[in-house]
Amino acid sequence: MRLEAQEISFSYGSEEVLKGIDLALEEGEILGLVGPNGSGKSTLIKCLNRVLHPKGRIRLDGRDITGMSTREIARCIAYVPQALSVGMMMNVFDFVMMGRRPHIGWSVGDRDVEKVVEAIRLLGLEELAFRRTTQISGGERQKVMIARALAQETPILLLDEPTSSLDLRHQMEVMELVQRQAQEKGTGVIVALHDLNLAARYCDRIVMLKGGRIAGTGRPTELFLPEKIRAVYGIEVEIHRIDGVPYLIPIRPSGEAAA
Amino acid sequence: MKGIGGQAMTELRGEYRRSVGRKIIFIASLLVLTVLLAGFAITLGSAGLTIAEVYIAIASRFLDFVPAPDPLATTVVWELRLHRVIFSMLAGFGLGIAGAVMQGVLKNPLASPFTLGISSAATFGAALAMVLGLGMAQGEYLVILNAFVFSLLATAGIYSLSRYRGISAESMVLAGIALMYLFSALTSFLQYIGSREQLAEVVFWMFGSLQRTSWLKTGILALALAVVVPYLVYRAWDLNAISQGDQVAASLGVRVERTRTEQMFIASLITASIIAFTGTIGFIGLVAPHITRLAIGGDHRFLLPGAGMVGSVLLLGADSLARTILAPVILPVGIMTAFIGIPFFLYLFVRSREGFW
Repeated sequence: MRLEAQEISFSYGSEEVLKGIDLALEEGEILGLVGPNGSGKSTLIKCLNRVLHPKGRIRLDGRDITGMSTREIARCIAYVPQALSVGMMMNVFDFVMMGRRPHIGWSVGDRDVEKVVEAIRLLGLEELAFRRTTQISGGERQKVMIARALAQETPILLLDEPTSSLDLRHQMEVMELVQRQAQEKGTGVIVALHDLNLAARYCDRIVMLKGGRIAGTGRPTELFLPEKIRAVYGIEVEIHRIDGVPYLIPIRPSGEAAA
Repeated sequence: MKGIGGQAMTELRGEYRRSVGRKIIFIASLLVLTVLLAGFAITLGSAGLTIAEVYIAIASRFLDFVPAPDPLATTVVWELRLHRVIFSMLAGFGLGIAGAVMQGVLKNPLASPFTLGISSAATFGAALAMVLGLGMAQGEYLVILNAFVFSLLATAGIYSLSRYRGISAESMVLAGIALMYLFSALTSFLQYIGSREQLAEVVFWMFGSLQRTSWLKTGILALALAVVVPYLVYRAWDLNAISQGDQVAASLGVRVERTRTEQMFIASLITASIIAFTGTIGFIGLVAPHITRLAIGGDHRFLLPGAGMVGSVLLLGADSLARTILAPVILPVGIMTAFIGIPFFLYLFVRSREGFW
C-alpha cells in the first residue's frame, strides 16, 4: 500500500508545528524521520493516521483518508507511540490482543489468537505472555507495544522512537525484525529515530525535519554529510563508511548557534 | 526473534484459552453465589421462613407441579422481601458496572459515581425537594425525580466544563471533583436553613437505604439495566483501547472523545436511576471494579459483568447484615456496605503483590 501526504500543516493552538510537509511511502520501504528535538517528527507521525487532524491531504493507494472510517484506517496503519503505556491490570497477551480490535466485532476468533501468538513469538516475549504489563521492564514494554502493532496486521507501520528504551542488542533485533516485515510482507514503515546510525543502517530513505519543515530527503549516503548535519543539528561530525553505510561520530557542537 | 515453533504456539494458545475460562468461571460462580445469597436473604426477618419455604413460594408462581405454599410465606416473600432482594442485586450490579466504566474511560482508580460529584448532585436534588419542596413532581416522586435530574445535570456539568480543555480524563476528573464540592456545599446550606425534621430526612437519605423498594421501582431499574448493560459490554473493547492511552486508542480506530462522553453519560444514567431510589450508596461503585480487576484482570469484556456481579454480592450481603446485626433495628445499607466492603478491599489491596491498578 502506498501512502502519500501532501502539504501537511499542523498547529498546537497558535504554534505552527508542521509547515507544508510532502512525503510518500512506497510498499516495502523503510522511511526514517530524523531531526532535532521539537522538529515535528512525532507530530507528523500522528498526523499520518489521523490521531491528530492536520491540514493537507493524505492518501492511501490514491484514496483520501478523510473519507475513511477510523476502523478502516486502523486496518491499514498501525502506530507505536513514543510514550510507554501499560494498560490497566492487563497481561501481555491481552495487551497485544488490542491490536486485533480493528478486525474483530466482539469475540476473539482463532485467527486473532494465532496472530497474537505469532507477534509474541516474533518479539521473543513467550516467557512474559501471561505476566502483567506493569511487572515487566521498560524495554520489554516497548517490545510489547511493537508486538501489538504487528498483531494489527497492517500494510503500513508508524513507529515513533521504537528503540528508545532498548539496549544495543535489542535495538538491532527490533530494527532487523522491522526490516524483515518490509522485505517479506511488503510492509511500508515510517520510523522516527534519534539514533542517526541506526537510521543510516536500516532505512531505505531519510526525511530530515527541522522546525516543522523538510530540511532534506534522500538515501542515507546522500543526506548524511557533515555540512547537512551541521545545518540541521548544529554539531560537527566525522563520517566513516563501513560496507557502504555512513556512520556518524559526533565531535562537538558547532560554533554558530543551531537555531 | 525466532521462527514460529509449533509447540510453543500451541502452549500459548492453550494458556490463553484457560485464562479466558478462569474469567468465565469467576463470573459464573458469583452468579450462583448471588442466587444462593438471595434465597438466604429472603429468609431473614421475623417470619422465621426456611430457605425451602422461600424457594417453594417463588417457584409455585411459575411451575404448576410445585405444591401450594403457606399463604403467609407467599405474602412475606412476594409482598415484602423479594422485590427488596432483587432490587439490591440489580442496584449492586448497576453501581459496580457504572464504577468500572467510569474508572475505564477516565483511566483513574479513584473514579466512581461518588467521587465525581454525581451522588452529591443527587443528594442536593433530594434535599431541595425535602427542604424547599421544589421540583417537578408530587410526594415521594418529587424527591426521586429531583435526585435523578440533578445527577444528570452534574454529568452535563462535567461534560461542559471539560470541553473547554478537550475531553480528556484529567479534565473530567477535575471537573467532577469541583462539582462534588459545590453540591456538598449547597446541600450543607439547605441543611443549615432547614428545620430539624427536614435535616434528619436529608441525613437519612444520605445514608442510603433499601427500605423504600417496591415492584414498580425494581421494574424501572431492571428495564434501565436491560437496555444499557448489553450495550456497555458490547463496547468493552473501546474501554480496553482507551486504557492504553488516548492516542493509541485513536490509532486502533476508537473515537476517543465521543466514546468517553457517551460512556460517562450511560454510567451516570445507571447511577442516577439507582441512587434516586435509594439515596447515597457510595462505596460499591469504587470498590467492586477493583476487586474484580484483582481477580480476573483488566479486560473489560469480563471486567464489566464481573464488577456488576461483585457489586450484587456486596450490596446483597451488606443489606442482609444491615437487617440482622441490630435486629429488629434495620441499619441503612449505605453504612453497612462500607463496614463489610472496606476490610475486604484492604485485605486484597495489601495482599496483592502485582499492584492493584
